[in-house]
Amino acid sequence: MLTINNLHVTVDDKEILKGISLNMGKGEVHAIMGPNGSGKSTLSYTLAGREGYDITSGGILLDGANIADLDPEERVAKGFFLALQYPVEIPGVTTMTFLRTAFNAQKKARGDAQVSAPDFLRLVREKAKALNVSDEMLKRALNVGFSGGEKKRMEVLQMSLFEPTLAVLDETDSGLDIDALKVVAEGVNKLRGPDRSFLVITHYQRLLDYIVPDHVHILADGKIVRSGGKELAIELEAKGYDAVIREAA
Amino acid sequence: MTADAATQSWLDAATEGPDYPGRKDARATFAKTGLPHRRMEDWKYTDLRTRLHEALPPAAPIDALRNLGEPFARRAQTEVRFGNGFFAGIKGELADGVRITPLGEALKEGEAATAGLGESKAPVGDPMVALNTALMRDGAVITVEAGARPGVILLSHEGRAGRQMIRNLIKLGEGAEAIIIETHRGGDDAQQFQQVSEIALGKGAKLTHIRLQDAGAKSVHLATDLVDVSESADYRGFVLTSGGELSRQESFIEFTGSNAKAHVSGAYLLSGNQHSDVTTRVNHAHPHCVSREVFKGVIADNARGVFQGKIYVAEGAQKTDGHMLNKTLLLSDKAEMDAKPELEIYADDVKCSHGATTGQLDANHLFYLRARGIDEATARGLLMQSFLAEALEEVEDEKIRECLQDHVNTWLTAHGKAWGRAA
Repeated sequence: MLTINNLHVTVDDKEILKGISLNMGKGEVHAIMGPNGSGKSTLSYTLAGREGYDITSGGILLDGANIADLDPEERVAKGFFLALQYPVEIPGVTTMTFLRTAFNAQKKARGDAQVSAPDFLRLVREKAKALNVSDEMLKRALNVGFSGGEKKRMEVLQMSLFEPTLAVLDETDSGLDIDALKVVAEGVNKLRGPDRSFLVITHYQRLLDYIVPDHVHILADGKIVRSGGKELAIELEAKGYDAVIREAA
Repeated sequence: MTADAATQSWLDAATEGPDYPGRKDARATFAKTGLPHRRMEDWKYTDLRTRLHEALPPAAPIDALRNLGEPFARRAQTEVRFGNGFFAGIKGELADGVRITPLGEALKEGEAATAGLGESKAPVGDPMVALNTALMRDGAVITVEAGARPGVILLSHEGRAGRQMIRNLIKLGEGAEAIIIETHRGGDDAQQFQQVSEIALGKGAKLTHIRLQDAGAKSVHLATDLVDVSESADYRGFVLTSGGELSRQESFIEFTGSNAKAHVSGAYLLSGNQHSDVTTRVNHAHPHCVSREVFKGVIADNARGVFQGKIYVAEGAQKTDGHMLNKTLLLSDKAEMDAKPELEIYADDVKCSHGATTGQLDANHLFYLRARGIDEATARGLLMQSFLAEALEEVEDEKIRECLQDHVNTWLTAHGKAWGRAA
């Protein structure tokens, strides 16, 4: 489903990712854990195709096709989704308008029919209800004045609308209290299925209590230093990054 | 003193047209300063002396106006049409309590003086007002009686060629409420359009005044609004500028009583080699008045924008609340914005502020939208729409705001392909 092959990435001429390799199967949930500065966000931005994240060697294959040269929107059309650590606020554009523009842009890119405004409204309402996203939030400007929890719920709402085959969650737990975390995790868990894979990037093990991964990888200084099952996250929590990374070296 | 060639050309033009009291004096006043130039503080960025080499021949009235399908007409009860700067007819109903006379007729009948010509108290030492008084040919004299609510009056201008000199006199009686929309559109032949509107709001009156300046590519468009806002009155001015090769919008607001409000806002969309200047002055001469200015713009290609805003608070104008904001997005390396916000305050218990920024689209925002599958051009369009929203939200009437938004969106779509890359 996703194959990352000896990926080297530089940002502002500085090498941040120093040879990452990863294989994810269909329907699997992988977690990448790492301390600050290990390259977690660089990995998620590189997967999403953000400008300024230059791949110097290695490749990214999605369902066997190289996506490393594609624009962000082209990757989305191929089923990629990135839930951001800090969703941006866009004043003057209502959440509904944004959602419909994005939804129909993806439909168009895939050659599917556009969805009418009333049909789309129905679809959004149904999905929004499950995530406790009110009509009032949908009418407001995108993310403007939303709390941290509301912003993350909005990310999960988008994920459920766009139905990606690969979703990357970049520190989705940051800034969330335990109740908000549960709502978000529950939303994600509902989307788990045989045709959808998740890459959960996080600093803390806490999120993985709720979104239980099949595999855990530890990222340190731009490389995956150890991989294991879900018990690796618990070991990490007990021993701390320093000890586990030292052992792996 | 001999005038420069450009000024002389305008002075020569000032001998044509019907005579009326005040024309000669105005010509003499204009002759003293001549066309404004860059060594005059208020005209530092917009030098008319070099840009207006000579006065074009006077425009001729147009017999049959095209039906422009003016989108704002759907929102108006009354449409007053002007072709090439001449009154061309009134469409629709004239509401009770409102009188509309073409200025050309009012000048001939000697009514213009009684309608308040030249009575504006707004602070002007502006040679363009004198020039207009010397050369004015037509315009709208609108009087709204005390307490009347005539709804929406549209002044639709279509310009084709030549020099067009408009003077409007707009008077609202005590407690009256009206919406006046001006649209300025036209063909691509060379034109010079100059307009002065004298606007007076009676006690407690409210005027929403919208201007859409979408003049032709070779148009010079110079407009001055002189607005007297009396006690408890409310003036809501909004100007959307997208047309003309050279334009200047001047709004001079004078509070003539306390507890009054004035909003002067707008948006500018510039491309090619356009030069557009917004100059405002709000004169807080009385206490407890509120003024707001929100001007936002997007500048592409080699275009240049100018914003000069001044809030003046006189001694004794306590509890003045005045805020001014100007923000611009530059879409190319060659685009230019000159912003000069000023506060001049002589009272000690006031709340005044100003802010001005010039920048580019936020790379984070752009990435976010693209990471949701929205292509780059559409994403840029959405972000510009978002950027301009703060200004458009100043327009209270939803239907009018939608019409303006449509105009903005059309511009954004048309210029989508030429958008430079984000910083």
